[in-house]
Amino acid sequence: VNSELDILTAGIALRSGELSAMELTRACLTRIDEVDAAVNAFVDVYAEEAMAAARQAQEEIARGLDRGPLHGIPIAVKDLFDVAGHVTAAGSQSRADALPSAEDAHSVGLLRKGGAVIVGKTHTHEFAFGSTTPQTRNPWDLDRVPGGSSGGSAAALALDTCLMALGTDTAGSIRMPAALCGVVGMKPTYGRVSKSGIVPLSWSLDHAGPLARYVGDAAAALQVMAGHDAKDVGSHQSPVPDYLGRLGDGVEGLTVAVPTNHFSENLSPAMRAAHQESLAVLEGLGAMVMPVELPLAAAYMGATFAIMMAEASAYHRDRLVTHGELYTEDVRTLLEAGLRMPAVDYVDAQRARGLFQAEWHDVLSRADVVVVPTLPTSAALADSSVLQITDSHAESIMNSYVRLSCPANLTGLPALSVPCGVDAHGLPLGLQIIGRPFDEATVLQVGAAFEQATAWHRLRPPSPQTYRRSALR
Amino acid sequence: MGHADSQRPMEPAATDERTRASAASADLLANLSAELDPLLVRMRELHLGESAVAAVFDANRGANE
Repeated sequence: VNSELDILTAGIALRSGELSAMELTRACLTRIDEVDAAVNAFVDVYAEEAMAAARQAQEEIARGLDRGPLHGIPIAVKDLFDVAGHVTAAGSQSRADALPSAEDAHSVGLLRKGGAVIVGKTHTHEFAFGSTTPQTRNPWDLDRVPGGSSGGSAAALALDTCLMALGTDTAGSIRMPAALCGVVGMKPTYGRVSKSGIVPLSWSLDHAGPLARYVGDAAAALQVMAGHDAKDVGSHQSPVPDYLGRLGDGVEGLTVAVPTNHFSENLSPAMRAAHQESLAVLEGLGAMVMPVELPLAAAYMGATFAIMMAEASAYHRDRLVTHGELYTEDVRTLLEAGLRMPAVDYVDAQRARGLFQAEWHDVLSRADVVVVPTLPTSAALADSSVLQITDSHAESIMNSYVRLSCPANLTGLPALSVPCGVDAHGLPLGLQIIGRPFDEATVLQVGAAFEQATAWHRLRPPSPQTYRRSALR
Repeated sequence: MGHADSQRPMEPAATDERTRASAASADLLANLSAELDPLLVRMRELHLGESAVAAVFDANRGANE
Protein backbone atom coordinates (compact mmCIF):
# COMPACT_ATOMS: atom_id res chain seq x y z
CA VAL A 1 0.00 0.00 0.00
CA ASN A 2 1.34 3.39 -0.93
CA SER A 3 2.20 5.22 2.30
CA GLU A 4 1.05 8.48 0.75
CA LEU A 5 -2.40 7.20 -0.22
CA ASP A 6 -4.94 8.82 2.07
CA ILE A 7 -8.57 7.73 2.22
CA LEU A 8 -10.02 10.68 0.32
CA THR A 9 -7.47 10.29 -2.51
CA ALA A 10 -8.11 6.55 -2.60
CA GLY A 11 -11.84 7.28 -2.81
CA ILE A 12 -11.33 9.51 -5.84
CA ALA A 13 -9.18 6.83 -7.51
CA LEU A 14 -11.80 4.15 -6.73
CA ARG A 15 -14.59 6.23 -8.24
CA SER A 16 -12.61 7.17 -11.36
CA GLY A 17 -11.67 3.54 -11.99
CA GLU A 18 -7.96 4.30 -11.65
CA LEU A 19 -7.87 1.92 -8.67
CA SER A 20 -10.19 -0.94 -7.73
CA ALA A 21 -11.29 -1.93 -4.23
CA MET A 22 -9.99 -5.44 -4.92
CA GLU A 23 -6.53 -4.14 -5.88
CA LEU A 24 -6.40 -1.96 -2.76
CA THR A 25 -7.55 -4.78 -0.46
CA ARG A 26 -5.16 -7.27 -2.08
CA ALA A 27 -2.31 -4.79 -1.56
CA CYS A 28 -3.17 -4.56 2.16
CA LEU A 29 -3.36 -8.34 2.53
CA THR A 30 -0.01 -8.73 0.75
CA ARG A 31 1.51 -6.11 3.01
CA ILE A 32 0.21 -7.95 6.08
CA ASP A 33 1.84 -11.14 4.76
CA GLU A 34 5.13 -9.30 4.29
CA VAL A 35 5.47 -7.45 7.57
CA ASP A 36 3.13 -8.67 10.28
CA ALA A 37 5.08 -11.76 11.34
CA ALA A 38 7.71 -9.61 13.03
CA VAL A 39 5.35 -7.14 14.67
CA ASN A 40 2.21 -9.21 15.28
CA ALA A 41 -0.33 -6.43 15.01
CA PHE A 42 -3.10 -8.78 13.80
CA VAL A 43 -4.94 -11.41 15.82
CA ASP A 44 -6.62 -12.74 12.70
CA VAL A 45 -6.77 -11.80 9.02
CA TYR A 46 -10.04 -12.27 7.14
CA ALA A 47 -8.55 -12.56 3.65
CA GLU A 48 -11.45 -14.31 1.89
CA GLU A 49 -14.15 -12.19 3.52
CA ALA A 50 -12.19 -9.04 2.77
CA MET A 51 -11.79 -9.91 -0.89
CA ALA A 52 -15.51 -10.71 -1.14
CA ALA A 53 -16.42 -7.38 0.48
CA ALA A 54 -13.98 -5.58 -1.81
CA ARG A 55 -15.52 -7.27 -4.86
CA GLN A 56 -18.97 -6.13 -3.73
CA ALA A 57 -17.73 -2.57 -3.13
CA GLN A 58 -16.08 -2.52 -6.53
CA GLU A 59 -19.29 -3.66 -8.24
CA GLU A 60 -21.35 -1.09 -6.33
CA ILE A 61 -18.98 1.74 -7.20
CA ALA A 62 -18.94 0.66 -10.85
CA ARG A 63 -22.72 0.96 -11.04
CA GLY A 64 -22.71 4.36 -9.38
CA LEU A 65 -23.69 3.45 -5.81
CA ASP A 66 -21.76 5.65 -3.36
CA ARG A 67 -21.76 4.58 0.29
CA GLY A 68 -19.54 7.45 1.44
CA PRO A 69 -15.87 8.15 2.14
CA LEU A 70 -15.01 4.65 3.36
CA HIS A 71 -16.58 2.77 0.44
CA GLY A 72 -14.02 0.17 -0.67
CA ILE A 73 -11.46 1.23 1.97
CA PRO A 74 -9.59 -1.55 3.89
CA ILE A 75 -9.77 -1.16 7.67
CA ALA A 76 -8.82 -3.17 10.77
CA VAL A 77 -10.80 -3.65 13.98
CA LYS A 78 -9.43 -3.83 17.52
CA ASP A 79 -10.25 -7.20 19.07
CA LEU A 80 -12.55 -5.58 21.59
CA PHE A 81 -15.30 -4.85 19.04
CA ASP A 82 -17.77 -7.52 17.94
CA VAL A 83 -17.48 -8.51 14.29
CA ALA A 84 -20.29 -10.81 13.17
CA GLY A 85 -19.15 -14.42 12.79
CA HIS A 86 -15.88 -13.93 14.69
CA VAL A 87 -14.84 -14.36 18.31
CA THR A 88 -14.13 -11.24 20.36
CA ALA A 89 -11.30 -12.55 22.53
CA ALA A 90 -10.41 -9.11 23.98
CA GLY A 91 -6.80 -10.26 24.14
CA SER A 92 -7.61 -12.74 26.90
CA GLN A 93 -7.24 -16.49 27.23
CA SER A 94 -10.28 -16.30 29.49
CA ARG A 95 -12.42 -15.62 26.39
CA ALA A 96 -10.77 -18.17 24.12
CA ASP A 97 -13.89 -20.34 24.31
CA ALA A 98 -16.30 -17.47 23.57
CA LEU A 99 -18.80 -18.03 20.77
CA PRO A 100 -18.50 -16.00 17.57
CA SER A 101 -20.40 -12.73 17.75
CA ALA A 102 -23.93 -12.86 16.34
CA GLU A 103 -23.76 -9.29 15.07
CA ASP A 104 -21.40 -6.38 14.54
CA ALA A 105 -20.75 -3.75 17.19
CA HIS A 106 -22.77 -0.64 16.29
CA SER A 107 -19.70 1.25 15.02
CA VAL A 108 -18.47 -1.76 13.03
CA GLY A 109 -21.94 -2.08 11.49
CA LEU A 110 -21.90 1.58 10.44
CA LEU A 111 -18.47 1.18 8.85
CA ARG A 112 -19.58 -1.99 7.05
CA LYS A 113 -22.76 -0.25 5.88
CA GLY A 114 -20.51 2.57 4.67
CA GLY A 115 -18.71 0.07 2.43
CA ALA A 116 -15.52 -0.35 4.49
CA VAL A 117 -13.64 -3.62 3.94
CA ILE A 118 -12.58 -5.34 7.19
CA VAL A 119 -9.20 -7.03 6.65
CA GLY A 120 -8.83 -8.41 10.18
CA LYS A 121 -8.71 -7.90 13.92
CA THR A 122 -5.84 -6.28 15.79
CA HIS A 123 -4.34 -7.05 19.18
CA THR A 124 -5.43 -5.29 22.34
CA HIS A 125 -3.85 -5.30 25.78
CA GLU A 126 -5.87 -7.88 27.71
CA PHE A 127 -9.39 -6.45 28.19
CA ALA A 128 -7.93 -3.05 27.23
CA PHE A 129 -6.55 -2.82 30.77
CA GLY A 130 -2.96 -1.79 30.10
CA SER A 131 -0.71 0.42 28.07
CA THR A 132 1.78 -1.94 26.42
CA THR A 133 -0.07 -4.57 24.27
CA PRO A 134 2.65 -7.15 24.95
CA GLN A 135 1.62 -9.40 22.02
CA THR A 136 2.66 -6.68 19.56
CA ARG A 137 5.93 -4.82 18.95
CA ASN A 138 6.51 -1.24 17.93
CA PRO A 139 7.29 -1.07 14.18
CA TRP A 140 9.82 1.71 14.81
CA ASP A 141 11.89 -0.50 17.12
CA LEU A 142 10.98 -4.14 17.68
CA ASP A 143 12.47 -4.05 21.17
CA ARG A 144 9.85 -1.49 22.22
CA VAL A 145 6.13 -1.47 23.03
CA PRO A 146 3.55 -0.07 20.59
CA GLY A 147 1.56 1.34 23.51
CA GLY A 148 -1.91 0.26 24.41
CA SER A 149 -4.44 -0.78 24.68
CA SER A 150 -5.06 -0.25 20.95
CA GLY A 151 -1.43 -1.22 20.19
CA GLY A 152 -2.27 -3.60 17.33
CA SER A 153 -4.31 -0.97 15.50
CA ALA A 154 -1.55 1.64 15.78
CA ALA A 155 1.18 -0.78 14.67
CA ALA A 156 -0.96 -2.00 11.75
CA LEU A 157 -1.34 1.57 10.49
CA ALA A 158 2.33 2.45 10.95
CA LEU A 159 3.10 -0.51 8.68
CA ASP A 160 0.60 0.63 6.00
CA THR A 161 -1.38 -2.63 6.26
CA CYS A 162 -4.73 -0.80 6.29
CA LEU A 163 -6.02 2.76 5.89
CA MET A 164 -7.94 3.04 9.18
CA ALA A 165 -8.29 1.00 12.36
CA LEU A 166 -10.73 1.05 15.25
CA GLY A 167 -9.65 1.65 18.81
CA THR A 168 -11.03 2.30 22.27
CA ASP A 169 -9.80 4.86 24.79
CA THR A 170 -10.44 4.73 28.56
CA ALA A 171 -7.43 6.73 29.75
CA GLY A 172 -5.55 7.27 26.48
CA SER A 173 -5.73 3.93 24.67
CA ILE A 174 -6.32 5.44 21.20
CA ARG A 175 -4.05 8.50 21.50
CA MET A 176 -1.16 6.88 23.34
CA PRO A 177 -0.40 4.03 20.87
CA ALA A 178 -1.03 6.45 18.01
CA ALA A 179 1.66 8.76 19.43
CA LEU A 180 4.12 5.92 20.07
CA CYS A 181 3.69 4.47 16.56
CA GLY A 182 3.69 7.80 14.67
CA VAL A 183 0.07 7.79 13.52
CA VAL A 184 -3.13 9.76 14.22
CA GLY A 185 -5.62 8.83 16.97
CA MET A 186 -8.99 10.48 17.59
CA LYS A 187 -10.96 10.08 20.83
CA PRO A 188 -14.34 11.71 20.18
CA THR A 189 -16.56 13.31 22.81
CA TYR A 190 -18.16 10.85 25.26
CA GLY A 191 -21.42 9.74 23.65
CA ARG A 192 -20.44 10.65 20.07
CA VAL A 193 -19.65 7.06 18.96
CA SER A 194 -21.68 4.15 20.27
CA LYS A 195 -20.01 1.58 22.50
CA SER A 196 -22.59 -1.16 22.10
CA GLY A 197 -20.98 -4.40 21.00
CA ILE A 198 -17.62 -3.45 22.54
CA VAL A 199 -16.24 -5.27 25.61
CA PRO A 200 -16.19 -2.57 28.29
CA LEU A 201 -13.29 -1.66 30.51
CA SER A 202 -14.85 1.22 32.46
CA TRP A 203 -18.28 2.32 31.29
CA SER A 204 -18.08 5.96 32.30
CA LEU A 205 -14.57 6.52 30.88
CA ASP A 206 -14.67 4.31 27.75
CA HIS A 207 -14.76 5.89 24.29
CA ALA A 208 -14.51 4.37 20.80
CA GLY A 209 -12.86 6.07 17.85
CA PRO A 210 -10.60 5.86 14.82
CA LEU A 211 -6.85 5.57 14.40
CA ALA A 212 -5.54 6.52 10.98
CA ARG A 213 -2.41 7.66 9.17
CA TYR A 214 -3.71 11.15 8.41
CA VAL A 215 -6.06 13.61 10.11
CA GLY A 216 -8.38 13.65 7.09
CA ASP A 217 -8.67 9.85 7.28
CA ALA A 218 -9.67 10.05 10.94
CA ALA A 219 -12.26 12.71 10.05
CA ALA A 220 -13.68 10.52 7.28
CA ALA A 221 -13.94 7.53 9.61
CA LEU A 222 -15.57 9.57 12.38
CA GLN A 223 -18.08 10.90 9.87
CA VAL A 224 -19.22 7.33 9.28
CA MET A 225 -19.00 6.06 12.88
CA ALA A 226 -20.63 8.96 14.75
CA GLY A 227 -24.29 9.03 15.67
CA HIS A 228 -26.89 8.10 18.24
CA ASP A 229 -27.49 4.48 19.26
CA ALA A 230 -30.34 3.60 21.60
CA LYS A 231 -28.47 0.50 22.76
CA ASP A 232 -25.75 2.64 24.38
CA VAL A 233 -27.07 4.50 27.44
CA GLY A 234 -24.27 7.07 27.09
CA SER A 235 -24.98 7.76 23.42
CA HIS A 236 -25.76 11.38 22.55
CA GLN A 237 -28.63 12.57 20.34
CA SER A 238 -27.02 15.71 18.92
CA PRO A 239 -26.71 15.82 15.13
CA VAL A 240 -23.41 14.83 13.53
CA PRO A 241 -21.77 17.85 11.85
CA ASP A 242 -19.56 17.82 8.76
CA TYR A 243 -16.05 16.84 9.89
CA LEU A 244 -14.49 17.02 6.44
CA GLY A 245 -15.65 20.43 5.25
CA ARG A 246 -13.50 22.50 7.65
CA LEU A 247 -10.25 20.54 7.37
CA GLY A 248 -8.68 23.18 5.15
CA ASP A 249 -9.80 26.21 7.15
CA GLY A 250 -6.50 26.69 9.02
CA VAL A 251 -6.00 28.16 12.51
CA GLU A 252 -5.88 31.89 11.74
CA GLY A 253 -7.56 33.70 14.64
CA LEU A 254 -8.05 30.61 16.80
CA THR A 255 -6.91 30.69 20.44
CA VAL A 256 -4.77 27.80 21.68
CA ALA A 257 -4.63 27.34 25.46
CA VAL A 258 -1.44 25.87 26.91
CA PRO A 259 -1.50 24.79 30.57
CA THR A 260 1.43 25.99 32.66
CA ASN A 261 1.11 23.07 35.09
CA HIS A 262 0.55 19.28 34.87
CA PHE A 263 1.09 18.96 31.10
CA SER A 264 4.45 20.72 31.27
CA GLU A 265 5.85 18.69 34.17
CA ASN A 266 8.36 15.87 33.80
CA LEU A 267 8.57 15.80 30.00
CA SER A 268 11.53 14.30 28.17
CA PRO A 269 13.76 17.00 26.64
CA ALA A 270 12.73 15.83 23.16
CA MET A 271 9.01 16.01 23.98
CA ARG A 272 9.39 19.42 25.59
CA ALA A 273 11.19 20.75 22.52
CA ALA A 274 8.67 19.15 20.12
CA HIS A 275 5.76 20.71 22.03
CA GLN A 276 7.35 24.16 21.94
CA GLU A 277 8.14 23.83 18.23
CA SER A 278 4.57 22.68 17.54
CA LEU A 279 3.16 25.74 19.32
CA ALA A 280 5.48 27.92 17.23
CA VAL A 281 4.11 26.24 14.08
CA LEU A 282 0.53 27.02 15.13
CA GLU A 283 1.49 30.59 16.01
CA GLY A 284 3.17 30.90 12.64
CA LEU A 285 -0.12 29.86 11.05
CA GLY A 286 -1.96 32.66 12.86
CA ALA A 287 -3.15 31.06 16.10
CA MET A 288 -2.87 32.90 19.40
CA VAL A 289 -1.26 31.00 22.28
CA MET A 290 -2.68 31.64 25.74
CA PRO A 291 -1.20 30.24 28.98
CA VAL A 292 -3.73 28.81 31.43
CA GLU A 293 -3.63 27.01 34.77
CA LEU A 294 -5.51 23.88 35.78
CA PRO A 295 -5.69 24.08 39.61
CA LEU A 296 -7.35 20.66 40.06
CA ALA A 297 -4.84 18.69 37.98
CA ALA A 298 -3.22 16.94 40.96
CA ALA A 299 -6.43 14.96 41.44
CA TYR A 300 -6.82 13.70 37.84
CA MET A 301 -4.86 10.48 38.19
CA GLY A 302 -6.42 9.40 41.48
CA ALA A 303 -9.90 9.98 40.08
CA THR A 304 -9.06 8.08 36.89
CA PHE A 305 -7.80 5.01 38.72
CA ALA A 306 -10.58 5.06 41.33
CA ILE A 307 -13.20 4.98 38.57
CA MET A 308 -11.42 2.71 36.10
CA MET A 309 -10.47 0.06 38.64
CA ALA A 310 -13.84 0.00 40.40
CA GLU A 311 -15.86 -0.21 37.17
CA ALA A 312 -13.50 -2.77 35.57
CA SER A 313 -13.60 -4.97 38.65
CA ALA A 314 -17.39 -4.79 38.78
CA TYR A 315 -17.52 -6.01 35.17
CA HIS A 316 -15.00 -8.80 35.76
CA ARG A 317 -16.02 -9.93 39.26
CA ASP A 318 -17.85 -13.09 38.19
CA ARG A 319 -15.33 -14.01 35.49
CA LEU A 320 -12.46 -13.63 37.96
CA VAL A 321 -14.05 -16.40 40.05
CA THR A 322 -14.61 -18.78 37.13
CA HIS A 323 -11.62 -17.92 34.88
CA GLY A 324 -9.22 -16.05 37.18
CA GLU A 325 -6.26 -18.31 36.39
CA LEU A 326 -6.60 -17.47 32.68
CA TYR A 327 -6.03 -13.74 33.17
CA THR A 328 -2.50 -12.36 32.85
CA GLU A 329 -1.00 -11.55 36.21
CA ASP A 330 -0.82 -7.78 35.70
CA VAL A 331 -4.48 -7.45 34.72
CA ARG A 332 -5.67 -9.85 37.44
CA THR A 333 -3.73 -7.81 40.01
CA LEU A 334 -5.37 -4.57 38.86
CA LEU A 335 -8.81 -6.19 39.02
CA GLU A 336 -8.18 -7.67 42.47
CA ALA A 337 -7.04 -4.25 43.68
CA GLY A 338 -10.19 -2.77 42.16
CA LEU A 339 -12.34 -5.14 44.22
CA ARG A 340 -10.86 -3.47 47.30
CA MET A 341 -11.35 0.10 46.06
CA PRO A 342 -13.44 1.93 48.70
CA ALA A 343 -16.91 2.79 47.38
CA VAL A 344 -16.49 6.29 48.79
CA ASP A 345 -13.42 6.86 46.60
CA TYR A 346 -15.38 5.79 43.54
CA VAL A 347 -18.26 8.12 44.38
CA ASP A 348 -15.93 11.02 45.17
CA ALA A 349 -14.06 10.47 41.92
CA GLN A 350 -17.35 10.71 40.04
CA ARG A 351 -18.20 13.88 42.00
CA ALA A 352 -14.78 15.31 41.17
CA ARG A 353 -15.48 14.89 37.45
CA GLY A 354 -18.04 17.66 37.67
CA LEU A 355 -15.36 20.00 39.03
CA PHE A 356 -12.90 18.92 36.33
CA GLN A 357 -15.52 19.57 33.66
CA ALA A 358 -16.17 23.06 35.05
CA GLU A 359 -12.43 23.76 35.13
CA TRP A 360 -12.02 22.74 31.47
CA HIS A 361 -15.23 24.50 30.44
CA ASP A 362 -13.76 27.70 31.85
CA VAL A 363 -10.55 27.25 29.83
CA LEU A 364 -12.44 26.36 26.66
CA SER A 365 -14.77 29.34 27.05
CA ARG A 366 -11.65 31.47 26.47
CA ALA A 367 -9.85 29.25 23.97
CA ASP A 368 -10.83 27.12 20.97
CA VAL A 369 -8.54 24.21 21.82
CA VAL A 370 -5.95 23.12 24.37
CA VAL A 371 -2.67 21.86 22.85
CA VAL A 372 -0.42 19.65 24.98
CA PRO A 373 1.88 16.64 24.61
CA THR A 374 0.04 13.32 24.21
CA LEU A 375 2.69 11.59 26.37
CA PRO A 376 5.71 12.73 28.40
CA THR A 377 8.08 10.71 26.19
CA SER A 378 8.42 8.02 23.48
CA ALA A 379 8.04 4.22 23.39
CA ALA A 380 9.37 2.18 26.31
CA LEU A 381 11.52 -0.93 25.98
CA ALA A 382 9.32 -4.03 26.08
CA ASP A 383 11.11 -5.58 29.06
CA SER A 384 10.90 -2.47 31.22
CA SER A 385 8.20 -1.25 33.58
CA VAL A 386 9.90 2.08 34.29
CA LEU A 387 10.70 4.98 31.97
CA GLN A 388 13.68 7.25 32.54
CA ILE A 389 12.04 10.45 31.34
CA THR A 390 14.79 12.92 32.27
CA ASP A 391 18.19 12.47 33.91
CA SER A 392 16.59 13.02 37.30
CA HIS A 393 13.07 11.65 36.79
CA ALA A 394 12.03 8.01 36.37
CA GLU A 395 8.40 6.97 36.38
CA SER A 396 6.35 3.79 35.92
CA ILE A 397 4.87 3.19 32.47
CA MET A 398 1.42 2.89 34.06
CA ASN A 399 1.69 6.41 35.45
CA SER A 400 3.54 8.19 32.67
CA TYR A 401 1.45 6.82 29.79
CA VAL A 402 -1.83 7.89 31.40
CA ARG A 403 -1.30 11.20 33.17
CA LEU A 404 -1.53 13.49 30.11
CA SER A 405 -4.33 11.65 28.31
CA CYS A 406 -6.71 10.85 31.20
CA PRO A 407 -8.09 14.40 31.59
CA ALA A 408 -9.97 14.07 28.29
CA ASN A 409 -11.56 10.82 29.55
CA LEU A 410 -12.57 12.34 32.89
CA THR A 411 -14.15 15.32 31.14
CA GLY A 412 -15.35 13.44 28.05
CA LEU A 413 -13.80 16.11 25.79
CA PRO A 414 -12.72 15.28 22.22
CA ALA A 415 -8.96 14.79 21.84
CA LEU A 416 -6.72 14.09 18.87
CA SER A 417 -3.10 12.92 18.76
CA VAL A 418 -0.97 13.80 15.73
CA PRO A 419 2.71 13.05 15.06
CA CYS A 420 4.86 16.06 16.06
CA GLY A 421 8.48 14.97 16.11
CA VAL A 422 10.99 12.25 16.90
CA ASP A 423 13.40 11.79 19.80
CA ALA A 424 17.13 11.03 19.74
CA HIS A 425 16.37 7.35 18.97
CA GLY A 426 14.20 8.33 16.01
CA LEU A 427 11.04 7.32 17.89
CA PRO A 428 7.79 9.23 17.22
CA LEU A 429 6.26 11.79 19.59
CA GLY A 430 2.63 12.93 19.72
CA LEU A 431 0.86 16.28 20.04
CA GLN A 432 -2.57 16.29 21.68
CA ILE A 433 -5.34 18.71 20.64
CA ILE A 434 -8.30 18.85 23.04
CA GLY A 435 -11.52 20.68 22.20
CA ARG A 436 -14.97 21.67 23.39
CA PRO A 437 -17.70 19.04 23.85
CA PHE A 438 -18.93 17.74 20.47
CA ASP A 439 -16.60 20.15 18.64
CA GLU A 440 -14.53 17.46 16.95
CA ALA A 441 -14.65 19.61 13.80
CA THR A 442 -12.40 22.31 15.32
CA VAL A 443 -10.06 19.72 16.83
CA LEU A 444 -9.67 18.06 13.43
CA GLN A 445 -9.32 21.46 11.73
CA VAL A 446 -6.37 22.35 14.00
CA GLY A 447 -4.85 18.89 13.52
CA ALA A 448 -5.15 19.15 9.75
CA ALA A 449 -3.53 22.62 9.71
CA PHE A 450 -0.63 21.34 11.83
CA GLU A 451 -0.25 18.27 9.62
CA GLN A 452 -0.23 20.35 6.47
CA ALA A 453 2.47 22.64 7.87
CA THR A 454 4.78 19.81 9.01
CA ALA A 455 6.15 16.53 7.64
CA TRP A 456 6.09 14.32 10.74
CA HIS A 457 3.11 12.33 9.47
CA ARG A 458 5.12 11.30 6.40
CA LEU A 459 7.82 9.50 8.40
CA ARG A 460 7.61 5.72 8.28
CA PRO A 461 9.32 2.92 10.24
CA PRO A 462 12.16 0.85 8.74
CA SER A 463 11.62 -1.36 5.68
CA PRO A 464 10.03 -4.84 5.75
CA GLN A 465 13.41 -6.44 5.04
CA THR A 466 14.64 -5.01 8.31
CA TYR A 467 11.67 -6.54 10.10
CA ARG A 468 12.34 -9.97 8.68
CA ARG A 469 15.99 -9.84 9.72
CA SER A 470 15.00 -8.64 13.18
CA ALA A 471 12.50 -11.45 13.54
CA LEU A 472 15.25 -13.98 12.88
CA ARG A 473 17.61 -12.54 15.49
CA MET B 1 -18.42 -32.30 55.50
CA GLY B 2 -16.51 -31.46 52.35
CA HIS B 3 -16.13 -33.55 49.25
CA ALA B 4 -13.56 -36.35 49.63
CA ASP B 5 -11.23 -34.71 47.11
CA SER B 6 -11.12 -31.50 49.05
CA GLN B 7 -9.58 -33.37 52.00
CA ARG B 8 -6.72 -34.74 49.93
CA PRO B 9 -3.43 -32.94 50.65
CA MET B 10 -1.90 -31.11 47.72
CA GLU B 11 1.15 -32.53 45.99
CA PRO B 12 4.34 -30.82 47.31
CA ALA B 13 5.27 -29.47 43.84
CA ALA B 14 1.82 -27.97 43.37
CA THR B 15 1.99 -26.42 46.82
CA ASP B 16 5.34 -24.79 46.03
CA GLU B 17 3.99 -23.50 42.74
CA ARG B 18 0.95 -21.98 44.37
CA THR B 19 2.96 -20.50 47.20
CA ARG B 20 5.30 -18.85 44.70
CA ALA B 21 2.38 -17.58 42.60
CA SER B 22 0.66 -16.25 45.69
CA ALA B 23 3.82 -14.48 46.84
CA ALA B 24 4.34 -12.96 43.38
CA SER B 25 0.75 -11.79 43.31
CA ALA B 26 1.11 -10.26 46.78
CA ASP B 27 4.24 -8.44 45.59
CA LEU B 28 2.41 -7.08 42.55
CA LEU B 29 -0.48 -5.90 44.71
CA ALA B 30 1.92 -4.25 47.14
CA ASN B 31 3.73 -2.47 44.29
CA LEU B 32 0.44 -1.36 42.81
CA SER B 33 -0.78 -0.04 46.16
CA ALA B 34 2.46 1.87 46.63
CA GLU B 35 1.83 3.61 43.32
CA LEU B 36 -1.92 4.13 43.65
CA ASP B 37 -2.21 5.22 47.27
CA PRO B 38 -0.51 8.63 46.80
CA LEU B 39 -2.75 9.28 43.77
CA LEU B 40 -5.87 8.51 45.80
CA VAL B 41 -4.62 10.68 48.66
CA ARG B 42 -4.28 13.63 46.27
CA MET B 43 -7.79 13.02 44.98
CA ARG B 44 -9.18 12.90 48.54
CA GLU B 45 -7.62 16.30 49.21
CA LEU B 46 -9.94 17.86 46.63
CA HIS B 47 -12.64 20.07 48.16
CA LEU B 48 -15.78 18.62 46.63
CA GLY B 49 -18.17 21.00 48.40
CA GLU B 50 -21.78 20.41 47.43
CA SER B 51 -20.92 18.66 44.17
CA ALA B 52 -23.01 15.58 43.51
CA VAL B 53 -22.81 12.53 41.31
CA ALA B 54 -24.51 13.40 38.05
CA ALA B 55 -26.88 10.46 38.13
CA VAL B 56 -30.07 10.51 36.11
CA PHE B 57 -32.77 8.04 37.01
CA ASP B 58 -35.17 7.40 34.17
CA ALA B 59 -38.22 5.64 35.56
CA ASN B 60 -39.34 4.72 32.05
CA ARG B 61 -36.19 2.88 31.15
CA GLY B 62 -36.96 -0.77 30.49
CA ALA B 63 -40.71 -0.23 30.46
CA ASN B 64 -40.97 -0.58 26.70
CA GLU B 65 -38.09 -2.96 26.07
